[in-house]
Amino acid sequence: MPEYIAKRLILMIPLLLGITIICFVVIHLAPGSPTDLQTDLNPQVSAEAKERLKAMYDLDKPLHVQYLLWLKKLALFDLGTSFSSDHRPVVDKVMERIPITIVINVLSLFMIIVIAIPIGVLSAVHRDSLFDKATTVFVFIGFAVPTFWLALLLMILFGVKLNWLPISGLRSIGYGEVSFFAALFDMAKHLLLPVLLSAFGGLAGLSRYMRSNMLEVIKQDYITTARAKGLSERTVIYKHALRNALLPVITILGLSVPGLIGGSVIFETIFAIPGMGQLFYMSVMSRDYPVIMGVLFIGAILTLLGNLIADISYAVADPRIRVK
Amino acid sequence: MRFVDIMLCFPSFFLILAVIAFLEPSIWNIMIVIGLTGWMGITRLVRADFISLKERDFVQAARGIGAGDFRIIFRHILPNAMSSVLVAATLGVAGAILTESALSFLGIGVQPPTPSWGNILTAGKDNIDIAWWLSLYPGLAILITVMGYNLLGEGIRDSLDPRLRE
Repeated sequence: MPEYIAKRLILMIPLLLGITIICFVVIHLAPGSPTDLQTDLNPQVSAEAKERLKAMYDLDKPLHVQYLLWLKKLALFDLGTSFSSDHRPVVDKVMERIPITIVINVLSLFMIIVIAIPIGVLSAVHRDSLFDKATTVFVFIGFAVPTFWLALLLMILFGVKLNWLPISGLRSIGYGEVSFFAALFDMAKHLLLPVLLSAFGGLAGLSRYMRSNMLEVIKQDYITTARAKGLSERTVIYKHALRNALLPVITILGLSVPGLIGGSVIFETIFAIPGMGQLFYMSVMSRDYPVIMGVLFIGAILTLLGNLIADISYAVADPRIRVK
Repeated sequence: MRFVDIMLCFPSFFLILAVIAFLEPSIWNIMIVIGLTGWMGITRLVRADFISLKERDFVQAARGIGAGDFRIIFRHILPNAMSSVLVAATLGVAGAILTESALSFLGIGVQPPTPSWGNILTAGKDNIDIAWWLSLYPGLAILITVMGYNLLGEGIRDSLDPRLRE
């Protein structure tokens, strides 16, 4: 197993290089340069000063030289400093925003697992029952509903009409003055809608997937054997069938990481949550190259790690794969 | 396939945002971007189909008659792989509608005054206190359209899958 992990980690390097090259080229092809913001509105800036500013950020060099410079810094774990007016290191900027994005994504993944798996199992076991038909309808709606629209509707309902939940931000005013638990409760209230909504899309997908897996497994010979042994239906379904049906779910969860990270752009913008998605959106708009590269790089690492962890846990869970 | 793997590692929405920054937001560019960032799934699908189809007997038979690679690929294997592509394409339309509306909602898709269900929703969000219906109906329209394409995709899958035909 350690060899396998090492091999996978080494394979990540060319993938990361490829990803960063594509990112680098795409963002540098964009018209408009980060120095425009500082210079265009100021009539006193001469063409020469503009060039000097460009030279300061190495923007005058050919693209491949710029990329190599970026790579060189990366080797020293330095993602550069932001072009925006605060000039802070990209690492700091990303690190202060990453926890909230990860918290939201982990909570919603947790919710997806806890809700979708029982739904899928039950609708497979009671196939064609009323419950199965109801969840099928739910799944089709879940696939088709634009989640940002649902977010809007829930904001209207709970935030504006009923006034139960806050509709934006992470904390209420006066956050520092209340007790720890009151603050925690306040934060939970702010996070409820974003977590619920980012879980919603995945919920439909996973429960559908779980259902078809379970249907497939129930047809297998070893389930017939288990029944023939005289095991109770409960043991057959929850011990013999469920475990085998759960296996492919691991892979799906690993693959869903980029979707969740990407989805956070929408939710963080709608709910004004200061996370990675919002940082990325703002840095794209202001052509803040180092921050864009930093977020894409860290997003890619998280994605690759998600896939790796999924593959490893699959191998741990399934003895048939371990042999290879 | 390595390239496809690389492309699949991007959080796709991040990639779309980055490309949008490069191309100015407009209807044409949105179409291009959604296409550029959404082709990988079908590539994998076709690859998987081809890998299994090229071992089948009918390919062997075609080769036995003396058909060339070109003929085998386009006359014998491709038509057999088309059914899953057709399904994926139909479901892809649904996905593309959702992506477009999300982009337009964020203000980086179709630009007003050209209306799109997404940017009508943005206008609705600004008037959320006084006119809730502005936010309700465009979304409902998206929901129904996307659901229509999804059901169409499922329908095509069921009618093309010989195992389900009884």
